Amino acid sequence: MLPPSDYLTKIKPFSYLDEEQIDELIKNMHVSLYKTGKTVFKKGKVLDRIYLVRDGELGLFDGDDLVEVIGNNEFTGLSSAIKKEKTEFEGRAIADTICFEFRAKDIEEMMERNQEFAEFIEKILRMRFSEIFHFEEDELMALFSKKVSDVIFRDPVTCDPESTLRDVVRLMKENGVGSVIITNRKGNPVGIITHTDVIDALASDVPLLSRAESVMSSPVIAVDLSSSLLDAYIKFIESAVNHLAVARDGRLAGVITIKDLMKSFEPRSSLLNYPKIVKKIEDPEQLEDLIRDVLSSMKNMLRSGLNYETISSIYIPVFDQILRQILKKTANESATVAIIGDFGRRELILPPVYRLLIIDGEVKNGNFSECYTTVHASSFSEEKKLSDLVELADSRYISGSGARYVSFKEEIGRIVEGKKDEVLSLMKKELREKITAENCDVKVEKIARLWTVYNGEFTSKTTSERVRSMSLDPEVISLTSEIYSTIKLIRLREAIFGNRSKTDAIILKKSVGVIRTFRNAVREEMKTW
Amino acid sequence: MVEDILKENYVVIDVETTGLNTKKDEIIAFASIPIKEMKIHMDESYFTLIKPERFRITSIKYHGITENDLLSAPEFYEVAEKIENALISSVVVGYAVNIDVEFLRNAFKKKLRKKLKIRGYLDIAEIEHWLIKRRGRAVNFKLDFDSLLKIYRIEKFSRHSAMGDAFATAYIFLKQLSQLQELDVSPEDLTRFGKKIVFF
Repeated sequence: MLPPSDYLTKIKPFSYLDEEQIDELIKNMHVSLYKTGKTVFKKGKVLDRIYLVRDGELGLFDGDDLVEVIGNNEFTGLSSAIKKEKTEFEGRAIADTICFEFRAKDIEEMMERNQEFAEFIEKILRMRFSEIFHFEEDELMALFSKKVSDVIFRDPVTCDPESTLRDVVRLMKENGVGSVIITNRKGNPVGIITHTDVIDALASDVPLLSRAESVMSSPVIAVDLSSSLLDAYIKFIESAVNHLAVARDGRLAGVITIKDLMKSFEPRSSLLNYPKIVKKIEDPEQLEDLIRDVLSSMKNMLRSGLNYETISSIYIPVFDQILRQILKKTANESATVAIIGDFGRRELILPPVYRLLIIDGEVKNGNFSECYTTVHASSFSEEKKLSDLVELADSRYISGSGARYVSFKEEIGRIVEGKKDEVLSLMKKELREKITAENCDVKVEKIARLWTVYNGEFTSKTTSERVRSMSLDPEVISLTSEIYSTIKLIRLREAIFGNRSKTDAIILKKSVGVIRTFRNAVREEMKTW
Repeated sequence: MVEDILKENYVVIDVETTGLNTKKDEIIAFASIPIKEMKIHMDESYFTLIKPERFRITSIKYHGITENDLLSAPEFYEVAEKIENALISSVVVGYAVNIDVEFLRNAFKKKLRKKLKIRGYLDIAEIEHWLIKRRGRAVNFKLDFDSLLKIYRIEKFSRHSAMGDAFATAYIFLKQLSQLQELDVSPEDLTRFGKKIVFF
């Protein structure tokens, strides 16, 4: 074992290598000390080594502008060294800095021999600005990609529907569990009785000899054993329950509780408390507190390197839950409400202001007016501008009559389908408009929506999903969807931290070019329509 | 001699031996890593085990090398030229390096009847001693290899192998060089206080 291998094994992607492979990299390594101010590599050069900062700080400069700082245990130079591209920035030591420098040739060879290592590096190389990608081990990412099977260790405690409430209570006590799953003869779960259900039942004088099936809640909400903790998390939030059944190949395999999840999430478990808090919201002040809490938890997420889609899927359920709670107070009995706009596509924007489409009934603005804006479906007659109708492709149901919502959406879908020519001219108009750093994400959203609507699809999807379904050059698609996500992250960061970092400004500037390429590709493709 | 200490060529060495007696004990492992212009060149490093004439079991606890490891190792005369080439054009650097140098000189004298030429040598403990005093502080603790590792926060590197110790030494020396340059130390000064032997 060669000297610094203990150190390297703790750093991604070297952690994927075995001892022998690490030794091979070390064999040809250089270790350099750069005095403050010394140039490590110039701009516009193809590097033959990648740089791991062992100690110190390396600045990436665009002229005299410091774009990014590469700190301890972080890399730079990878995209230049591996993709043989010219460096976009100059690397200069901004403190006395020691770098471990690995030969590009050795890294390439290791990529051929070690698949995990290669995948990690390729993932980074696919990112547009891989030079300023931070290789930090991402705890949160690791946490969310853990599997449910890593967390559950309890066999489910079950009983049949004919068992009594007393049997259930005894089963809970004997097994020390907080929930019992009711299964039918085939062993399929038909309901669940949790600790809370028992207390509720006893408090409302349900006799102990009542049958389990009269007390249980059903259907049982389940996750698959192979699901990620992120999936489980979303289910917990969406359904506001404390227990989920775990299924393997459709059969009951165990139970995962919110406590199990919390243990894995420490110290970030506060995320899981939201459903409980949401239920208790009574007045706007409590709501404000909660939203402030949620937003501050987002700070860490935004720094963690999670991508936009993941962050959206973590937070949209929380905000949806809050919205449902508010609607309970502000919507009247006959109201059917859908979400449109960014939140309709399940894309997070800040501040979290929903756009609501009131299909039937009424929604007061009342004390919660800052949480949403409303538009009435009655204004969406055939005379309504087609561009507004197309936007309804983003709508999704939130409360009231599901059937009413579906029939409304189908109706709009039919109207739009009948005006394909107009959709096409909307698209042409869209493609003529100027793309700037400020509007480039919205442009992608509009183009992707018009494209899918023109192709006969009128369901709510994220912009990235829509882009990925477009029949364009795969390279253009992957770049566009990546850049789109990055821009959306920048927007979130701006909203949360109140300013735009230099890196973000540069990325935005360069993004415009990518989005223009995307637009041109769409133009070309449309000639064949 | 060059004018700038950063332009000098250095070679960090470490040897493992069968014991501490420079006259009787023998070298069983040799490691060298060159440093040129503030860059440690692992790709030009050299390591070899060496089969001694007489192995002392008691020394295993210091270096972890067993007699078995040495069965297929070359004898000293087979690697002498490589060792000489590694050292010839550079200033030798090490920890307690005077002992290592003496072992090497004796080996060349005894086994090859040849005088090993060494341009000069520097001890990282001596340099650290000088740096601390230069900062106006007293050295009131034992300045051994472990304290040097702690000072330069490199306890993570694997120790107790010739190559591991040589690498840690090179890393420490690189950082010392950077400080010495800031203090305008000339190569002559460096060789003067760098090899003075202070017993702690």
